[in-house]
Amino acid sequence: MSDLRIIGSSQPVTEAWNKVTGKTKFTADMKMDGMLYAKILRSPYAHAEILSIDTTVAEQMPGVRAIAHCFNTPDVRYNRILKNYDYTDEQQLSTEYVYPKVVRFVGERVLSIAADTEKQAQDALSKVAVKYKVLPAILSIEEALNEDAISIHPHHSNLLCDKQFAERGNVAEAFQSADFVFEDTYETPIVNHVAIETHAVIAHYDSEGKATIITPTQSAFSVRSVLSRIFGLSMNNIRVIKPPIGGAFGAKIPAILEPQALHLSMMTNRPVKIVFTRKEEFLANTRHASKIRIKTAVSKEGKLLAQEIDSVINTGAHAADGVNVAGALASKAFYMYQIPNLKVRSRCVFTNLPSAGAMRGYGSPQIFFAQQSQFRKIAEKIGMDFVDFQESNAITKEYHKGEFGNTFLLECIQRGRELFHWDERIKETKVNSDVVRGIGMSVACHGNGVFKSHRDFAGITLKANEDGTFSMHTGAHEMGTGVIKTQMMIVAEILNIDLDQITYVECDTDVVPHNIGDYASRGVYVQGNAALKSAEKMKEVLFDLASQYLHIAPENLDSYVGGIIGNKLKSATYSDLILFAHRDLQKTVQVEESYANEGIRMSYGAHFAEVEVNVKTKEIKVLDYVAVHDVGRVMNRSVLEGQLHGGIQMGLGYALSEEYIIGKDGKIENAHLKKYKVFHAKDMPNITVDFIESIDLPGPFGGKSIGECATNPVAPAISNAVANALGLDFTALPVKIN
Amino acid sequence: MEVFQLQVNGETKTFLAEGEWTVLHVLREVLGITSVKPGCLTGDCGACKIILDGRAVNSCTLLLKKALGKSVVTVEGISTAKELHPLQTAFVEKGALQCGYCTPGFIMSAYALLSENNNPTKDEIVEAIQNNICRCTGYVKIVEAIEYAASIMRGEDHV
Repeated sequence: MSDLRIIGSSQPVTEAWNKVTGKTKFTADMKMDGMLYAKILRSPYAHAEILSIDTTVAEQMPGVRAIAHCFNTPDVRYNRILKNYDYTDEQQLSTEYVYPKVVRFVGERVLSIAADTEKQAQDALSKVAVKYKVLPAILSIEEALNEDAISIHPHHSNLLCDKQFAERGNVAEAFQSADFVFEDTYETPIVNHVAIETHAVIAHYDSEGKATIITPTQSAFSVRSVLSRIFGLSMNNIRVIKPPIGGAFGAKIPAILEPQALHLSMMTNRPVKIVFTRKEEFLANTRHASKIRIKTAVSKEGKLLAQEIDSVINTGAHAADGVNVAGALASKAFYMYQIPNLKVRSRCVFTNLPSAGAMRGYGSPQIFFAQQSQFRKIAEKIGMDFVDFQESNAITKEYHKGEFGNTFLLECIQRGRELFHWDERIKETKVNSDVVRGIGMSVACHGNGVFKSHRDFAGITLKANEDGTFSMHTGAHEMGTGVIKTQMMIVAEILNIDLDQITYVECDTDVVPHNIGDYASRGVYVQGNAALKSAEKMKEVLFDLASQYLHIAPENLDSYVGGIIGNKLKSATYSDLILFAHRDLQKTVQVEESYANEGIRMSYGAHFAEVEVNVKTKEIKVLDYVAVHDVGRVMNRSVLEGQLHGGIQMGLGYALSEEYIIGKDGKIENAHLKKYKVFHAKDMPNITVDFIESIDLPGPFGGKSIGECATNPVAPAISNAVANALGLDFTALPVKIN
Repeated sequence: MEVFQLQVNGETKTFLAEGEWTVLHVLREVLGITSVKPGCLTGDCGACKIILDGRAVNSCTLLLKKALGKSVVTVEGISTAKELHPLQTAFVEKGALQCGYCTPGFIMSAYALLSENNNPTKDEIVEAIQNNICRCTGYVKIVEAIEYAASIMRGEDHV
């Protein structure tokens, strides 16, 4: 398929050599002279008013330099994820304070102490006396939907949003006349990203009145907006620098501890470092729990006729991006199947639990678990092979008339069916024993950016050096996704240079062009296209220089690796051209371009799983797994494979072992890696992956995302396999056998 | 605070500390060896793995006073300025790291395994890394990298 030099090859992520030699400094590894360490006191109650805080003893403790709480911080209500500076409560409801006067979940921050050492800060915390007035707490979706329940926020009901999505066709009529109608309700739990690096920050407010924030964020410019709003600092006085990130998966999008660190630095004029413990990490950000009712009508031939979805997700104590997740979840119903009648209602409620936020999939894992589980059941009840059912109803480009690009969902299903030997395996008869095997599959999609939901653009600066090498200034946030390497590969392909001829400056709000952040799987599509557009502009500039230098019209020029050639006698290296510009024209050679997302593009995946269930011990083992994805174009092969493997690991935990256990008092009982179970190496099945290239322009070279799509189909593929093994239906995650 | 000595990466380090401090804290905060990472501080994720007298152990639950007289090796100590250890090269070439935060811990576990057994089976590799958590890679390429490093060490493959 490839006539491309670099795109499609396997390249390591940026900083790989520094990472394996231990040279890469993550935030917690960094020190600044005079740096203070801060620790946070957290609420023991799920819902309580703070009546008083007595810090007189704590203030006298050795090493204590500053104590911050609700009585001495700005009384500014904000949203931790301000996607855009001009967003109001309409777009993103504000519910947080630097330190709140009312705490709304067990573990919410009450107060911070900055001291010379971490131990001194911790010791001083134990000397603080807080008086609370305990209030009733709401701990479930059902309680939150009860109209008589206490309002968690004074300025808003517990129903953060209730959106009726566009109704297509006539669902009520279709249900009346259908051969079969099925109605089921599915539930998913609160889970955690478990990035191995916990949240951390170093904030320094210097004597110039400039704030420098080093934070492993997925959205440096958004953090800057939040800090500007809270503290009234102008943006030119807030510099947010993104250092290497040790995993994020959505956890590190919001401004979770930057406001607190900056404020302490403003109090002391010294750098302040905060590093979350693993327990604090469990309280920092989560995936929305869900309760989804699906009503589906099918014909006896297995054709989908109508679907009605009623979804409620749980945003926890704060709005964050609950409304956006509710919308994203609902939208997925429209991209998967040929359904003439479709109606989706999507709600989001507040509860007195840790704040939820973006977590890989952003509503997709929840809706696909519900939808794909019900479809398996439907196929079984009407006596149809499930893969046949999927193939018969899968959305195609013809159906949506190319409205969302090249859709190769069917090809993914067919290829997966083949690789997994579905038709042979489904025929295997079950032996009556304590150990039974089952197979299952599911499909899912995910988008490429935030087109239509928010503004979705990125800029890239390219600078040429005198020796013909290049430097790229990018607002992309590398966190293991390989996004910056992808951008470099694209630039190198367009400019016809080797990969080692381009390096980069990463995500510093004072230096790089504006970028809304790395999430919503915008890496390949938007970040990649920004690099492509900038590279094409640079190519134009270089050709123009060559034309002047060689006295040949640009249309008679061509590039070779490292330069531009006219005919056998006349060529110039890029170095020749840059020196020509500096010496003879006295001009810099630098370009900056922005790319704005042009339209909805969906990435697709089909996953197949074989499980083994021990009915006596109730243990479920995943033996074999196949995943096939429509990625448009394989950009960086080894990173693509790695992202899919990782998405599968995360999905397997969601399917079988991960969940928050919430006590009656609202405390998270298993905020500990001994009790919150993620998949280890031994738990992993044998995995086979494959990719379909739909060349989905205008993706760069036709490329599309995989980051979130990688994890969306996993949980239902597993629950469907267990259902097949036991002849049961599962309507909740994680899958448990009674 | 007392004066302690510890063998780290082949050198004798002399420093002020408390015997009750963890080796993780001493390495990072006193000696500036930051490849050893805090992931949980409860011995559950393996990001803090070091080699202690040849065995891979979690440094976050190891008290300094229990490590005295023993040798400590971290990722900084398995290569020279001129040459990387085959494990380091293998991890990069096989795409066995994404964010890289857990990587030093995995390399330590693999190093301990390959020091004793330079021809491990896949099961033996999986067993050796069973107490390291990775959230990015799904472990697949990590196992491939360790297999590749072993074959380099056996002289069957070249970098």
